[in-house]
Amino acid sequence: MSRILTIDKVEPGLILASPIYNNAGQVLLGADTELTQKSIKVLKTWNIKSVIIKDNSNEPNIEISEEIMELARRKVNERLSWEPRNSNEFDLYNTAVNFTAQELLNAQV
Amino acid sequence: MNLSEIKIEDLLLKLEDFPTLPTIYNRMMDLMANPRTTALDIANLISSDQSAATKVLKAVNSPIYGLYGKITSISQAINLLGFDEIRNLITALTIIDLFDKNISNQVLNPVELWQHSIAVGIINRMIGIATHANNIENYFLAGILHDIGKLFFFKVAPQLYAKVIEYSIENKVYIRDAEMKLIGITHTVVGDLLAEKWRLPIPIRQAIRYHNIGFVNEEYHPLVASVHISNIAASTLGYGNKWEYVVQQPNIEVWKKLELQNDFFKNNIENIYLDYIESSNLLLKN
Repeated sequence: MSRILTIDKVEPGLILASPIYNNAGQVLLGADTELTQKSIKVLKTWNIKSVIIKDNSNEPNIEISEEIMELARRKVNERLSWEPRNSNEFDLYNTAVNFTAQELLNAQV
Repeated sequence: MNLSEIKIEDLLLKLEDFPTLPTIYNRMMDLMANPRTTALDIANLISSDQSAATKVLKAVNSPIYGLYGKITSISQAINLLGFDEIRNLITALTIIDLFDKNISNQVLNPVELWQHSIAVGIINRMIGIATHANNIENYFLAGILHDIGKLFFFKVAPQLYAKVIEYSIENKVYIRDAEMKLIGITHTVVGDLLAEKWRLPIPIRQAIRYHNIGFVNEEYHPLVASVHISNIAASTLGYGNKWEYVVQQPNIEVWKKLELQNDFFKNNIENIYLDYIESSNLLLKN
């Protein structure tokens, strides 16, 4: 997954997951750009508040505990008044649980 | 306020008094209806409104259209995306601006409804692409506008609509049932009337009116079916809120007709997440 970082947490070497625009809609930095001291300075000059960066693929994926998965399942079930019946609904439901678990994990870190 | 004194007729009168879309929108519609209009004519009109031009440029460079920052002028945007796509984009931007986002009450905040609607628009456009739909330019707009009737209710009768929402949450019933009980008319019907007043295209009106059912009088319309699924999917994935607290199950017949890939959500969740962040920044912040 990509992560959203506020500008004060950004460090040189991180890779942008999506382009960054100024207020006029012009691209300041394209996707896949590696951030440098200089480009971070430019972003601050343009008053960019946050950027979306790619997760470092060398970092091992953090295993999501069964506890968090269960919490995620409960949160999704709270929203729904139904249970999945076909492959599309299982796909939607499972994606929602995994996505919610990821969010819970990000909130913890 | 005695809620029982609010009558449907009063609400419909308020609909007549409701703002029309701004001049630039109507001039653009007139220009586009004229077969001799060139891309340059449209570009000149949009460029004459600095704030509209800036927003259009930002939007066309956002991930919604997959052009990733390659567009530097309005005429280039029209050439790459076409008249209809630009028209619908301006319609979305215009209507979002028409509703004051800063007015909320203790129960409801309109920004939350727009956030949900943006997620629906993004998912809807992805479903449109994945199912090789015709008229893909309608998909984002239909998602953005599907709940416009709720914003109308909130604007003309905020206290009453807060009661509707509270009733839905407390009794765990669908919003439409709470609306029928406390107002006597649903947001889907009112939304369609508003869209008619604004002369929005028929497919958009159908999506607003029938998104809860997924069919138009039992007839399959891909856009209506897709908004039906996108709306439920957005809420299921967490892009929902108390404006639609009880999330319904999709109409099983809609799945059969739509023929969406079995792993569509798994494969697209990351793009939904990223597009949502950029698009909501773009559309909801001035």
